Amino acid sequence: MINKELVAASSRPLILSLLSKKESYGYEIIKNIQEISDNKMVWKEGMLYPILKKLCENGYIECNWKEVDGRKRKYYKITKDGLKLLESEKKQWMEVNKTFNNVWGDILCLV
Amino acid sequence: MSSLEKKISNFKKELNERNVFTEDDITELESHILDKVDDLKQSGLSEDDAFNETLSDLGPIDEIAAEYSKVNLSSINKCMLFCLGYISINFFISLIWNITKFITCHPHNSGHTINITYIPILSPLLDHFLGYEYSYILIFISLLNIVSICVLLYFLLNKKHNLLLLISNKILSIKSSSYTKKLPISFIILAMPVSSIILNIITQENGFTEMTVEALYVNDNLDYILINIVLLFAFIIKYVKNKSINDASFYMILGYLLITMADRYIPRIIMSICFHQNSFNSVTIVLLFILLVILMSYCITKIINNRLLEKHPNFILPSILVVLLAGYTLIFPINTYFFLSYTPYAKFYTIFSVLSGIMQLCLSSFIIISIFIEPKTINFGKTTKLS
Repeated sequence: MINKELVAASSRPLILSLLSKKESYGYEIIKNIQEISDNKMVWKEGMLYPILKKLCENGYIECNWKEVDGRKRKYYKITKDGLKLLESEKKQWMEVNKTFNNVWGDILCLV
Repeated sequence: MSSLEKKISNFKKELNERNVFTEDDITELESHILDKVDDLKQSGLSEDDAFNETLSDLGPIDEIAAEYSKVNLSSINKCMLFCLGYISINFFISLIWNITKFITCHPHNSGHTINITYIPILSPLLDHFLGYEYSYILIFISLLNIVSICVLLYFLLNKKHNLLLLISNKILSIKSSSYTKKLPISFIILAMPVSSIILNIITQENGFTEMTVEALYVNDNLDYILINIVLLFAFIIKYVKNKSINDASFYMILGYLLITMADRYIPRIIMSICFHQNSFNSVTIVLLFILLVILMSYCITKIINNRLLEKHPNFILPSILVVLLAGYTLIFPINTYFFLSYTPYAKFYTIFSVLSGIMQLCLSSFIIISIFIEPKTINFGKTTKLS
């Protein structure tokens, strides 16, 4: 089980990374996170949506409603500002990772 | 309706009652539930089990509501709700007041516009004290007022059929809608104070030229002081029950109580006391009013922007409530004693009425502007608790 604070802190870069690859909707994002983290990152699913809304309001992602297979879903797409934010978050995490590597001596895993 | 549809519909109703979700938010959560239930059914679960698992994975509604309130009840939205509370509650009270006046076509008692005899229980005592004559028509009007006021309070405070819930949910939802939906709502928001003003003018005996004291806001009488005290107590009870303060109608009622205090009662208390000493003129009164509005706006902005209310609910909010309670209970005796003893008060009363009317129109304009403009929040804020 991963620490709550770590899960919370990693949520934004994870969401932006997933959205930088393709346009997606809330439930799909949750499923992807579960797959990528091997079910180790357990989110309270209802909490994702306020984060997405806040990112959208701040202009880091765009949202629009689409009807697919008769179901209305809110799709999210990353914006240029979102890509910039993602780059800055990536840099920060790499710095943290570098520091841990210096202390623990493990192989650098963030490329 | 299938069992799943019923359950989802109940869930949506529960979300709506929290008064922090927009229509979009609820639809998005619904589509999440439908997607997840489909997935779980495909992996072999029954519909009921799938739904229950989906709900438990979603997390407690209280926590979801708390997170959504941080997004939906941003600083600008809280300001908007403050103003909206004042405009809408004022409109409903003014509507009742003017309709009953219109129906009963009651003439004013010898030019006095403070209709304190409208409560039958207190009428005999007050009339004796103040020398008015009262008739059975007044008692009828009073009963009519009381019944309609009780109905209004029911619709303002009831959990299920709540006007404030309806209005605030609509306004929060409309911000993310298209222009074609925003325009009619904006028109309604502007129409509220304008129609109150027009209704007051129509039902006033002497028209707009003389005694414009009622023209621009609802006359203050015991009925309305009592309504405000009831709203204040309901507000206190709501706050004591649920200390997390993340509800749109909370801000609406708070806005109404605070702005009413500043708009109607404080200037009149000051004026009453000052007039008793015969030392003020029009310019001073206007300046006092403007100063008051500036002070009020500063206090409200401080409360909202610094999240003072959330950081120190144990201190700030009870203090506000004590001040409001003291103000509302003191206004009547102070105002009656000092105000009525000074006869040519009409001119200054008129000035306050005009300023109050202008303020109502400014508040409506602010609400309309904030519906159309989407200011970006500067800092992202704390990261959400996800697990």
